[in-house]
Amino acid sequence: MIEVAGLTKTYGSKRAVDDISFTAPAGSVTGFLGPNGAGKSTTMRMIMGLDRPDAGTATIDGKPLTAHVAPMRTVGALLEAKSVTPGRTARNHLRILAATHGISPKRVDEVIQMTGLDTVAKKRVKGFSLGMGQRLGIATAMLGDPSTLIMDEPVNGLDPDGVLWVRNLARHFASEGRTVLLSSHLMSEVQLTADRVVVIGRGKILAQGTIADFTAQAASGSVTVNTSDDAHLARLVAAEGGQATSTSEALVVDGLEPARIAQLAVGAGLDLHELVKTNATLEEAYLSLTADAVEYHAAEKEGALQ
Amino acid sequence: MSIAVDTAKLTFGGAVRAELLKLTTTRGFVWVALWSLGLSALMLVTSSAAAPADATVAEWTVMTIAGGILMPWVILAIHAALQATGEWSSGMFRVSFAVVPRRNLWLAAKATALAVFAGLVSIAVTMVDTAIVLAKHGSAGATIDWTLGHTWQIFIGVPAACIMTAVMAVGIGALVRTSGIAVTAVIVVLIVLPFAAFFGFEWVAHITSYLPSGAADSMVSAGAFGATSDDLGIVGGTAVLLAWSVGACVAASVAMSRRDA
Repeated sequence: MIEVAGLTKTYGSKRAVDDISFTAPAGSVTGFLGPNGAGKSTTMRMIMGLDRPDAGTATIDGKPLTAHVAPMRTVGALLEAKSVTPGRTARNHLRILAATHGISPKRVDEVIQMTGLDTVAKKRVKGFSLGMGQRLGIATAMLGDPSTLIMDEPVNGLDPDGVLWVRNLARHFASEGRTVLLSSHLMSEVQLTADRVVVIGRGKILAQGTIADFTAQAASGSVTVNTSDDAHLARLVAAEGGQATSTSEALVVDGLEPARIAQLAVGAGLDLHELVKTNATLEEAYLSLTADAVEYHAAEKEGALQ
Repeated sequence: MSIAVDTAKLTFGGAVRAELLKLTTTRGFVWVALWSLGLSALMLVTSSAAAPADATVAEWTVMTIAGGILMPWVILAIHAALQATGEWSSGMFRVSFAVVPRRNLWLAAKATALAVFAGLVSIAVTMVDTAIVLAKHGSAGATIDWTLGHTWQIFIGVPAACIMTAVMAVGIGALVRTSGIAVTAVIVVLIVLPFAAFFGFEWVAHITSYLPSGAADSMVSAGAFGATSDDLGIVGGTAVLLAWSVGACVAASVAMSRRDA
């Protein structure tokens, strides 16, 4: 389990992380989301002890990382994939890390195979592609078979096969009762992988909880209806105080619950073909929540995308 | 079936083994050793010094051998500094501090590994230099007298000085984290500042005796590491050089404990 309490970090005049507290429980995958510059990477670095917090604590399984007798068995981290001496081979890089904890070279070969690096293990890292470097970073994180996995943008540069592999790895880790904390900008991927989310914006926690709760809060409330006479239903909805918008495929109703819409349709003798309440996607929920927390906006020039 | 890592534990010995692997899994260390051996040998082979034809020849022999250590001494120190700063220039520090989060342990392991390397190379250099001097001047009476205290002073003192200077350089590298600054600092401390002894001020010359070069020279009493005006003696020289190496590492340790990685 990862526990962060009152964590604060300031760089010069900028408060990068501002009194944040959250938990990434064991047995689940926690997605750590936020716009660029929100404080995700800074938070992860403080959990790993790389950056010194100005206030607060970050513990893994109840202790700071420095207090663990076998840090590699406690946590495996992928923060920046190519944190490797370029002139060294992948296998030697992993051998070095394994040596610190007396881990067998057979384990090195095992993680090389698991991450699909067998054919390039004896090649120098400077020749690696982005995806291969990412796989090496994941291999590094898994070397000690840790109880906690922390990954910053783990699918960056991976092909679809690799993305699926990371998703399954995270889910498998969590199913074994381990803790997974991962950050990603791919909302669709986080929605498939994570059980819980922690959303950070401008250094502050904006929301945390299960994905279901998070998306339910942001649900637009619209209901998509398809009947034998949408125009008639639209008039009935308007009379009830609701709003009905006709699309090419269905009627979108706002302001009325699905049950009431169904009553109106059935009461008017209409055949009800479809009645679906629209749930917000994780991306919609996230964008809605972080709209005011984005620091770095891309400038849009008129006609630039034409 | 997964290979079990249940008994895996971070140890100092493991950390040192890892640092030695870092050293030996890139090609640089071979070149450092070869350049050290080659330059030292070249110096002695091309030297025009002649063996005295009296009882001081044994003393002269070991002092000539010690004279070949100057360039390897500097090379080993620069190499040690670069091994430290290389962690930051490559980004490797993120991984190093993730698996060895106690930074003092990491620093001690790094210093130990570079000390081992410096010791082995300096011993190899001394052995090669001995072979060269005896081959070149043996017919003129050059010989190793193991009953001479100075012989042991040099054969132990030269590697010891190289080891302590390498440790000092690791401390400097970990303190400044930037290759250019670290190398410049090492060169200034080892080579540039000792030249102040030639400025003509007695107090300046006195101070240079306490630089690493002066202290190392007091350790071996051979003029091998540069001029020194005050002979601090073996114990004094060793203490001063030890203070430089320990001091640099303590400074690095304090800085690392307070700042972000």
